[in-house]
Parts: sequence; C-alpha cells; structure tokens
Amino acid sequence: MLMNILLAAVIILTIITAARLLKVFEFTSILRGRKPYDISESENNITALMFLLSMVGLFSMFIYFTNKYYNYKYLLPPAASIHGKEVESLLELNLIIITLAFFITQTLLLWFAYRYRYNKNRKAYHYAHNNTLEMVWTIIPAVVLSVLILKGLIVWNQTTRKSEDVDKVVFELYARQFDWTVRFAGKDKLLGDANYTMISGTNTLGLITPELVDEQLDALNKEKARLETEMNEKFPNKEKLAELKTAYRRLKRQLQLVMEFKKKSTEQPYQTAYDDIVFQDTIYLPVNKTIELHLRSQDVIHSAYMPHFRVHMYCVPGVKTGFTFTPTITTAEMQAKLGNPNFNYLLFCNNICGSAHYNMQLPIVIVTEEDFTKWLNSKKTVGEQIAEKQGTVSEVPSTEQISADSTKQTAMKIHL
Amino acid sequence: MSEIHSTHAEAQVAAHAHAHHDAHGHHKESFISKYIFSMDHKMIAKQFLITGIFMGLVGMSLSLFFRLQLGWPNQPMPILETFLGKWAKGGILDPNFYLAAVTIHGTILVFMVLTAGLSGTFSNLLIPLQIGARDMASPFLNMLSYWFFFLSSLIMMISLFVETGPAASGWVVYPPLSALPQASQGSGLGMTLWLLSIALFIVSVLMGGLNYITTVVNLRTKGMSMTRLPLTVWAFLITAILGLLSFPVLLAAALLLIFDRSFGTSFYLSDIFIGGQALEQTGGSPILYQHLFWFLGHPEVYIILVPSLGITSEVIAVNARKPIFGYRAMIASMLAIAFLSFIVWGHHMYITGMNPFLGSVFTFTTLLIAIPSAIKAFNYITTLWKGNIRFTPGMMFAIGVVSLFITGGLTGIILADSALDVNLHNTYFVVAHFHIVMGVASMFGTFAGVYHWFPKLFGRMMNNKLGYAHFWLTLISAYGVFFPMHYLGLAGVPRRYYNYTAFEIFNGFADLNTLISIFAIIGGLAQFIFVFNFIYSAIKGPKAPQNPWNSTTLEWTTPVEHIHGNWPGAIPEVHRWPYDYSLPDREEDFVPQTEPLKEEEKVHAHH
Ligand code: HEM
Ligand SMILES: [Cu+2]
Ligand SMILES: [Cu+2]
Repeated sequence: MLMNILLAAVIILTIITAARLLKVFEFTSILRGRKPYDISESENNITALMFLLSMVGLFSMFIYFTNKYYNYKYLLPPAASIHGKEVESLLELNLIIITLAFFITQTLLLWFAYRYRYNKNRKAYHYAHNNTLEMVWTIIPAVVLSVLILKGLIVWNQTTRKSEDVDKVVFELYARQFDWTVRFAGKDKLLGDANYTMISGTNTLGLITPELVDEQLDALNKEKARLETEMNEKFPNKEKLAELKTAYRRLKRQLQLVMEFKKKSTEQPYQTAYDDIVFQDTIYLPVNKTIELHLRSQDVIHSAYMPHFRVHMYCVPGVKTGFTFTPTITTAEMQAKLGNPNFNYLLFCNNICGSAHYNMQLPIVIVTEEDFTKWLNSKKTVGEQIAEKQGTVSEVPSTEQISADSTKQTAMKIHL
Repeated sequence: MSEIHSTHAEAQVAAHAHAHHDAHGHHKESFISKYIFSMDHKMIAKQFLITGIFMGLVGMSLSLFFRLQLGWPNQPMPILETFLGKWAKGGILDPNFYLAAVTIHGTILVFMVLTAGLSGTFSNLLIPLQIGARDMASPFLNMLSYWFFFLSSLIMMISLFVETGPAASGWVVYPPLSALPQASQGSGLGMTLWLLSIALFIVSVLMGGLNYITTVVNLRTKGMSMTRLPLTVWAFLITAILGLLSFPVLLAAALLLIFDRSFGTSFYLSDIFIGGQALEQTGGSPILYQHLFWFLGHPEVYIILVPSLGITSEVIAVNARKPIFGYRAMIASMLAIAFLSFIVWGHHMYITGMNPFLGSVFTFTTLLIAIPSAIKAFNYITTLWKGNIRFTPGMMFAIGVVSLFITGGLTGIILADSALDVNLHNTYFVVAHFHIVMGVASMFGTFAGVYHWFPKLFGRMMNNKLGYAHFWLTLISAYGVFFPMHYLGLAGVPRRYYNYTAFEIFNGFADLNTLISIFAIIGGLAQFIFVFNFIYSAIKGPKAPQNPWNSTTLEWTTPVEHIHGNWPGAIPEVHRWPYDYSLPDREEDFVPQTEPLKEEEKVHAHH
C-alpha cells in the first residue's frame, strides 16, 4: 500500500516537473526570438538523417531476423507431404517477390524523405500527375499478381483434389474441449455411424451399434429417474431448479432420439462401427499412402493443425470437414535429416476453443506401411471391446493379435 | 482548453456568425450544452478523440498484460495482481483472463479506437471545415452518435468487471464458443454485455455515417466540386459508405447470436454435446456466422485504414509542399478498394470447409486488391520526390503510415493465396500482417491527424520535441514487436495461446517472445509521452497561428478560436483544387483554395 502511494507520488512529481521544464524550454525559445513550434533547418536535417538511418535500421532488422530464423532450426522442416512440397515452393516464390518489393519501395520512400528534406533555396517541383508513370505501376503489379494467382490456384487445386485412390487410409479426428479422439476406419474403410446423442463417458465418439444403443438407453433412463427424484425434492434454490428442468428437458429429447436408433436398428443393423479403432494417443500413419482425414467436433469450433504436412482444417460441430494428403517422409527419416532424434510430427488445435486451447496436442508418427499395419492390428477394434465387456463372443471376426513388441506402443486409453 | 478563454474577438465573431446563420439562435450556452450534450461538430470531434484516447489506453494496457504472460510465461508478476486482482492470483495470469484480455484488446482497438476514435474525430472535425459548411447536416444525430458510442464504450468497460469475466472468444466471437456459457466463462454475462455494446456501437456508426455522407453530398460550399475535395474528405466519405453498407450485417449477425444465446434458436448451433448434455439446437451452422461476420469484418479493416490514408495524403502533400501525385488515381483506387472489399471476405475462411472453388474465387478477388493498394503506395512515394519536406511530427507519422502500409500489405499477398493460407491461418503471421497494415498503420494515421490538426482542435500547438520522441520510439517498437512475428508464423506458432511451454518445437522462440514483449513495453510507455504532450498542449501549449502549416484548405481560413458556425462572415467560396503547392510561376509556395483562378491558370487548371 505504502509502495503504491509512493509510486503514485513519484509519477505525479515527474509529470509536474516535465510540465515545468517544457514551459521553461518554450520560454527560452521565445526569448531567442523563435516560436517554440518552429522547426529550424538544422533540426529538420537531423530528422531527415534519422529517416535515412531508419532505412538502414529496417533493412538490418530484416537481414538479422532472416539470417537468424529463416532456417530449419527454427522454421518448419521441409514439407513432409506431396502437396506440402508444392506449397513450400510457392511460398518461396512469393517470399522472394515480396522481399524484392519491400526493399525497392522502402528504399524509394525513405531515401526520398531524406533527399528532399527542406532547403530554403529550393522550391518543390509542382508535379501533379503523369499517366504513363501511373500506367506503369498499375501494369507491373497486375502482371506479377497474375502469375502469383495462376500458380496459387494450381497448387490450391492439387491441395484440395479428392483422391480416387481406393487403397487409402481413412481416419477421423474428433475434437472436444480439450482433447482429440482418433478413429481409424478399419477393414471396410468406412467410419461407422455416430451421433452426438450417443455420447457417454465411455463412448466419446457417440458410436452407434446395437449394444451401445442399449447401453445408452439404460444410462439415460437411470439419469432420468435420478433427475425426477431430485426435482421432486423441496428446492429452495430457484436457479438450481431451473437448471434441473433444462437438463431434464434435454435428456428427454435425447432419450427420444436414441429410441429412434433402437427402432431403426431392425432395418438398419448398425454394423459399420465394429471394425473401427478408437483411441486417444499417438497417431501412426503410413508413408506414401493417401490419407483421408475426416474431422468433426463435439462442442465448439476447433482446428486440426498439422503444420509439417501443411494440413489445417476446422472441426465444426454439426458440419463434416476433411483433408486428403499423402505423407512422404517417415519420422525416422526426418529425425535423421534434421539430426534431431527428438523430432516429432505434431497435431494441435489452432482455433480458439476455450481456456485450455493452448494444450490440445497429439504426436504423429509416420512409419512404413508394414509397421503401420502391425500397429493398427495391435489395437483392439470397437467390436472386440464390446465383446470383451459383455463376456460373449461377438459375431464380428476378430483381427489376429500381433505381439505388441513390434511397435512402440504406449498405454492404450480406449474409451469403451 | 481554448474555449475557456472566451475573448472579445470570439464574442464579436460569434455575433457575426448569427447574422449569417440563424439556426444557432441562442446566445448564452450552458456548460452542459457546450461541453457535454454539444451539437457542435468540433466539440463532438474532441469528445470522440478523448474517449478514443482513453479507450486506447485501456486496450493497450490489456495487451501489455498478456505480453507479460507471453514474454515471461509462468513467472509471477506482482504488477499483474495489483491491476487484475483475482485474475492474476500470485502474479500469474489466469488462462481465462488471458483470452479475455486478447478479446477485449482486439475489440476495443478495432471498434472503439480505430473506428470511432478515428473516423469520429476527423470526419467530424474536418468534413464541415474542409467542405465549407457551418456544421453537420444533422447536428442532433451527430450528438446522438457520440452518446451511443459513449454508452457502448461504457458497457464494454463494465464487462471487464463482471464476476465471470468479459467475453473471451476472440474479437471475432465465433459461436458456438461465444454462444455457450458452458464452453467458456466469458460467454456468460460478459458476452451479453459485449453484444449489447457492439449493437449500440453499430447504431452510433450508422448515425455518424449517414451524417457524414449527407453533409459531403449536400453542404459543400460554392465552387467545391467533388474533384476539388481534399482527399481527406473523399476518404471519410468512402469510409462512411463502407460502414453504412457493412455494419448492418454485423448487427444481423449479433442479433442472431443473441437469439441463439437467449431464446433457444439454432441459427449457428447444431449437434452439440457439452457439459454432459446433448443440446436441443440442431440445423444451424457456425459457418453462417463467419460469413456474416466477415462480410462486415473485411470492409471494417478498410473502414479503419482508409481515413488514415486520407489523412496521410493531406499531411504529406502539405509538408512536402507538393500536390498529391495522381489525385484522381488516388480517388479511383480508394473506390476500387472499397468496392473489392465487399467481395473478399472468404479469405478469412479458406479452411472452414468451404468449397475449394469458392476459395479460388476469393483468392482471385483478394489478390486484385493489391493493385489499387500498390498504386496508392507509389503515388505517395512520388509525392515525396522533389518535394521540399518539412518534418513536422504529423509528417513523420504520415511517412510512417506509408512504410507500414507497404510492409503489411505485402504479407497480405501471401495470405490471400488460399494454398499458402492453409498453413498460415491463425498463426502469428496473420497477427503480424494485420497489426502492421491495419493496427499500427492506422494508429500512425491517427497520430498524424492529431499532430497536424491539433491547432484546429485546441487552438494551440503541440510540442515538437516530444512529438519526435514519441514518433521514433513508437516506430521502433512497432517494428520490433510485429516484424519478428512473421517468423513465428512461418514456424507454425499459433495465435491466442496462453503459453507454448508444452511445445518442444517452439522452445527456440522463447527468447524472441521475451524480446517482443520488451518492445511492447517500450512502445506502451512511449504513448505516455503523447498523452502528456496532448494534455499539456491543450491547456498550456503556445497559441496557434491561423494557418500554421501554410495549407491551402478551408479549415485554415476559420478563426483559431472555435465559433459556432465556423466562419464569422460568409462561407468562403472555392476556386481551385486543394493542392496548389509550389506553383512554378508563384512567389509563395501555396495558393489557398479560396483564391480565384488567374486568367492564364484557367487554361492549365487541373480541375
Ligand atoms: C494487399 C492487400 C491485402 C491482402 C491481399 C490481405 C489479405 C488478407 C488475408 C488473406 C487475410 C486472412 C488471413 C487468415 O486469417 O488466415 C487477412 C487477414 C487480415 N487482414 Fe489483410 N490483406 C490486405 C490488406 C489488409 C489491410 C489494408 C488491412 C487493414 C486495414 C488488413 C487487415 C486484416 C486483418 C484485420 C486480418 C485478420 C483478422 C483476424 O483474423 O483477426 N489487411 N488479410
Ligand atoms: Cu483449441
Ligand atoms: Cu480480410
């Protein structure tokens, strides 16, 4: 407290002193027969010189930072996907052009500022317009931009082209506050049905299978009963009661929708999710294969950012988005290339999604196709999980078990 | 302030004014009608400016708070606790408040400072004075415009103090994050206040804009044809039109968001499971909000920049003692930019899952904007060529605007390219781009305007020496803060992150983040030089001469002391364009717009 008062006193004193000094300064310049706001020629020259220096400063800054940071130690390593390579060279071309433009225009601007500083013996040149000149600097940027637009659109088309490849790997990232759930499509290359009303503590993706529908109905009914008893108790707190009522309304609707799945399951057997593989840790992907990435979100907008592959796409609740790409460099190769054994590809969230937005990442490991298959087979499918839980033999053909030592597998956290 | 020194002269001219302008029939004005509910455009300009400066200081402080966090992550900063209390227990900034600070910083700077503070001040001050009008077309609407802005600012300030904190979903407030209190603390009462504040703000902008347009179109003095308008007035006119066409769309976006938040509609919401509950809303699309938001959002960035460019044109011409080069090209490129700015909004949404073909179209239109932008830059540079430059602080800031406009505009070319934007979207590259081209450039334009027209605002001169110090410190720290951010962005460093300690790949940048924060602190402190100079000069500064910069335009023909109706006698007639500087066959280096053309001039006249 005392410190604060002291601080305030010091600040006030400084201000008063500054004001006094200023007054004295103005007074002396008046005594010298000048108006305090007149700018003398020598003063003007100093400013002009400073502008010249600022040009040197600007360019030095550019060179210093570029020299220090524009390299693989700091920036992203070479793009590790097919379209990423194209993006990389397009970026380089663009950077070269804008750097040139930067140097030329800033030089002209700051040099002219210096060169044409005030001189009482000179008069400015009354020069109001020149159509030829103006045409020149309309046409030159237009031509350069046309080239950039054209090149850009070609790369954009490559980036967004849908793959016809049947031998692709299909996987999904499901975002929520504040983690990612990963799902591979399994043998049928189809991501099984899912719906947000099916989400539960163990079924993070809201997958739909007959067993899971029953389980969800059971859970919802229990919750409904619990809410009913709670609401029937005497409630002094009106807010709490309103909250309960809202929850109850939502629950009843959810129950209805899940019942629909139950009814429909007679004609539509909901089998596609059985061979899906769901987990929440390191993602393995095969090199040189088309990867079809599907994106969904449970709550708010997130964004799946995998900068090493130049992959980035929003995850939007209620809307399906995606990105297709082909990794070209395995993690081991990249580690060797960079001489950094700790290097890892990374997925992280890049659209503001709440308080822990800054902490939503998963490592990605690119391996050979062989290793990838081994790794994938070592994971339990949804069908297997269900079967295990129910203690019965499921009708789904179970995939052969591969010994876990072939892949560097960390603890599995399967939410089923 | 100058009005307090009511002199004989003022009384006299005021009496004169009444003879010519009987709309102002009352003689004695009360304190309230003169300083608070004033309908005089010059007083309203000052109200906008002072409110803008205050809000600017608030916005800047917020940025210093989060820069402290980013520069020295996880290190206790007692000063944070002093200012923020429970939001920085033990001197460690709360992650929720970090996002809130980022959000309110952006909102205040974009809307309260660089839209209202800038347009509100200079459109109000300069439109009537430079076109030769006694006041705005509707002084009453003008007054309302300020008071709506004031209310809006007040509510934004109040939102800083609510229990759950202010809005914290970024200045673009994308739903569902902004729609659901379960998703973020700030989306509770804080967000409600944000929406209310912005709704009032839009009303203010619309009333102001209508007034500016009507005034420019109808109240020009005799001889003031559209091609004799100073470029400032053209800039304010175009800005007002942009605002009038785009802000209502933001109002619609905000209104639908209010409905979704409070009345259970689902314009933006669909299939959401949050807080253990499946929400009832289905069928909406969060992307719809983004389309609506950016339909305003992109024109908005030009609403912020164009007035600064107008001010820059004027200040550069006056102080280089040369006509602005390519007057008509300057107008045409401003019109082109304004038109194009309505068909590029999708460049903020390349990776929202929009159809790739649509992305191509937006890439094309966006890159087109670079052409008129380039023309403007070259025209400014040519205006300096063979000039006779007087470095007033206003001129220094105006040259700064051009430098920053170029640096920031160039990186826009990269972001415009959808293929490149994929990897740069939401990284620090974008932060660098728009702070340089919009934030700092436009701030510099505002400063240029304040230094240049301070004699018109307060009848006194600002101190040059302090102006120099302010300029150099601000320029150095602006480049020091935002230039390195390009490299962060190229490395994939995401924006709106509380810290990067969990990311080994960004470890190398810890020092750079500290350096950026140091520059930010220097830049922040430098602004107090300006504030001091502003307040000191308004009260104690040396009295201004009538036409301190030897300018040609009409505002310098009005008396130094403010009077109602602006000119004591008849409104001057205009005979020439505003850029007759250094005419070859003239002794003096400027010819006021009010001076009739000589016979021989009529043949060669530009306009
Ligand atoms: C040559 C002209 C310009 C081009 C081609 C351009 C292009 C772009 C593009 C493509 C983006 C989106 C980047 C992203 O979010 O991924 C962007 C962002 C932005 N630009 Fe520009 N720009 C230009 C000039 C300007 C100017 C003159 C201003 C302001 C006066 C401006 C202000 C902004 C702002 C505020 C954002 C980011 C908003 C946000 O995400 O928070 N830009 N620009
Ligand atoms: Cu996130
Ligand atoms: Cu834009």
